[in-house]
Amino acid sequence: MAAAPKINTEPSYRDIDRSVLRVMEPAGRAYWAWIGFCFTLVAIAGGFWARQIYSGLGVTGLRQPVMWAIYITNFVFWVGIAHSGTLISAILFLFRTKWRTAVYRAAETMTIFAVATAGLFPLIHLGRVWFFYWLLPYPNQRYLQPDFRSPLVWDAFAVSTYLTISALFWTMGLIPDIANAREAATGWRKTFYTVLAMGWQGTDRQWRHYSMAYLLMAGLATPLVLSVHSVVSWDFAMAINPGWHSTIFAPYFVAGAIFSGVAMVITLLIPMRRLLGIEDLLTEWHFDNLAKVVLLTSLVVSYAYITEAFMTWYAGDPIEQMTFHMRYFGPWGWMYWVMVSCNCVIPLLLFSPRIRVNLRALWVITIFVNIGMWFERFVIIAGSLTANFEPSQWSSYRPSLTEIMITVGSFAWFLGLFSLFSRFLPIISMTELKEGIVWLRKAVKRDRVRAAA
Amino acid sequence: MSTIAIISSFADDARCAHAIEELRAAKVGDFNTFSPIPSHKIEHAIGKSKSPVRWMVLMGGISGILTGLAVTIGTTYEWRLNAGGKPLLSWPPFIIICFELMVLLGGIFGFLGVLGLSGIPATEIALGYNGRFGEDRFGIVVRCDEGDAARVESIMKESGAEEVVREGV
Amino acid sequence: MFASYHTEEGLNGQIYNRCVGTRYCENNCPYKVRRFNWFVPEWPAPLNLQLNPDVTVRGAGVMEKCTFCVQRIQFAELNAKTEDRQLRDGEIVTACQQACPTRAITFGDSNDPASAMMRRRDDNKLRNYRALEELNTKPAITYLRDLYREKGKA
Repeated sequence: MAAAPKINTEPSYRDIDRSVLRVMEPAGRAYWAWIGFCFTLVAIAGGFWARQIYSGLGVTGLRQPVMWAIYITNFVFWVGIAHSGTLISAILFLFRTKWRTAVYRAAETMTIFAVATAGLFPLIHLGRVWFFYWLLPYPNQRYLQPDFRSPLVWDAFAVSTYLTISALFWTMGLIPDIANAREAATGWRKTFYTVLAMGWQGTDRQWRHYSMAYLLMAGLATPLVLSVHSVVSWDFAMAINPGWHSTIFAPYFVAGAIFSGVAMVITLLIPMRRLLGIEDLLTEWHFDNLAKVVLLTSLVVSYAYITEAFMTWYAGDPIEQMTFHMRYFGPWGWMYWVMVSCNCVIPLLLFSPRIRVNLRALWVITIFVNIGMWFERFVIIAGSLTANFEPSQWSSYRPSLTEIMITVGSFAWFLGLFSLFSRFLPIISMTELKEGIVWLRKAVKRDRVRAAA
Repeated sequence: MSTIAIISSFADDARCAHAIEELRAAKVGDFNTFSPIPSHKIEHAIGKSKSPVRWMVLMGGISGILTGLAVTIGTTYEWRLNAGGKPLLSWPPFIIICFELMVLLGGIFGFLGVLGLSGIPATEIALGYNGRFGEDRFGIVVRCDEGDAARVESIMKESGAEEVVREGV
Repeated sequence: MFASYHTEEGLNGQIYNRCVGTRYCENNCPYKVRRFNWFVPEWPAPLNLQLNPDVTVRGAGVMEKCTFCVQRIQFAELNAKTEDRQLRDGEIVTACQQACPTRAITFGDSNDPASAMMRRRDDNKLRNYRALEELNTKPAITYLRDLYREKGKA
């Protein structure tokens, strides 16, 4: 990759195009080594899955009565990660937020691949995955139909709708940008982008329908994103289990999802900005605002933890109280306190404006948030299952190699897909950045002033 | 007299929009614009009504709700299973299915609507298209009689066009 | 899929061949009585001889539970139907009931106050209870509490 041409403090439309399109030039050996590494891990995880299908779920660490553990934790974790993308691309679009333009494409891409990762786990965890299509409602010769009273069926509808709608929304945003790439590309890439751009030329007729549809898609995606994690949370809240059966779950999970998702956006963007040489488009201003979202949702999540504890104490149900006592002080208590430190305490550092723009510190904090949010789901899902109503049925759980490798594989799958995307399609929306160029100029100027001081 | 095309490019959308207003007032020929960003100024200057794609999204949403009802009620009636004496139709869960399908079909109709209405996938390049119009220039392509060409050119230049080119059709 | 659902007879049924193995039912079961087939079950000889020909052969990835010997219930019901009569009380004998040396288990129709099971339940009003009744799961099983005299009390 050529050295990044320095943008002056007044970046023009052309500067934006150049910076973004330069990222899409052919990649070096290190990049392909990384891609190869990721997909090797995916292949290994695939092997473990094949073995699990062949010999049965006994190869996992799951034992009576812990029926759900790491797989469902990963599912909820990845669906949660997905949420920030739609928050940034749809909800903040409706709010006309200025700083979203530079980060939304990366966040939305993350959404697509995170949902694609999450969607694998309900399949991986099935006892008889070869019959998964029984969950689809279509006329069939078995005369069997899914039970629409089951939250798992709602989940299937919510997650597949989410994947489809975010993919469409993402594709729509990409079309004008790919048309730009088409103009700059040569060789097979030119053919590739010409096909993908589908003949976009930016005529007034095209923009007129495009803008309206984009607005409406954002309007549809907004309630959708809130509904998806609510539905996921109902998988638990609709069950009678102490530790799950709670009305606070939907907003609690949505806040947690946005919290972990925005943290993941920051985790990905900070190294990406350096590696792809787009420091001039992703300024401190953008990270400052993202960090504020993390801080806000961290406070909401902390509030939910406190409410949960209060409700348990106030309701006076001894079994519920026992479950929470186990959660806080039981054998897995350390996980709870890891979670509280990562999700409630460490993000408080973001109250400092200096830490919000210190990218190294910010990166470390968001890694902690990711760890904390993974543990949150694990504590809720597996933790609540180890001990509840019948003391004779209490047990514990230890993940097996299969589960660990499939989890690692899911991270590799996500990172591999994201890395592939980042070099082949515009990772920053040129169109939207141009629309908000005034704000970008201000941010770049501010960065320069700070750097000079 | 033969028809010719006059291609002019502008550095920003305000000038481009001004030229469109003048052009519409002068009532010469028909025109097409190219822009790197969706511009409200240009849209106002052209003055077309709101895109009908919103009705497509609405139709999609409504058909999604109807599909949701059809799927849930239909499958329940196909397999009338008395589960623990509960009523056959459970409305609260059906609302969730209807909502999800409303969003799904609304989005799909909207997406297909854009493609259909704006003529995508397009295999032909529109007259006067130039890669720079996707990058940083706003373009107007006017098709008019050769006799009106001078007037059009002066409108463009007075509105601040950077470049005005005449091309045979 | 209604693999697990309350039948019209009030049985908490588990239909194995409809089960895809999400294991959600076991998570929701407050009694944790369901058991999952973690592996493909093997029956090395002569254990294969103990398999009950009336019961579906189990497979990997399927949840199972006690169904009050649904095969015996079906058998008795079909008998009654062929003979064109109502089911008689005590006609259905579950395997555990049959095997219990102290006759601690009685099975019968809870809609019929005259059935042996209901009589036994109502005769012991002071000591009958249902497990986790406070969860409103309306379990079909009534247990009778052990009676003993506490030290120092009459």
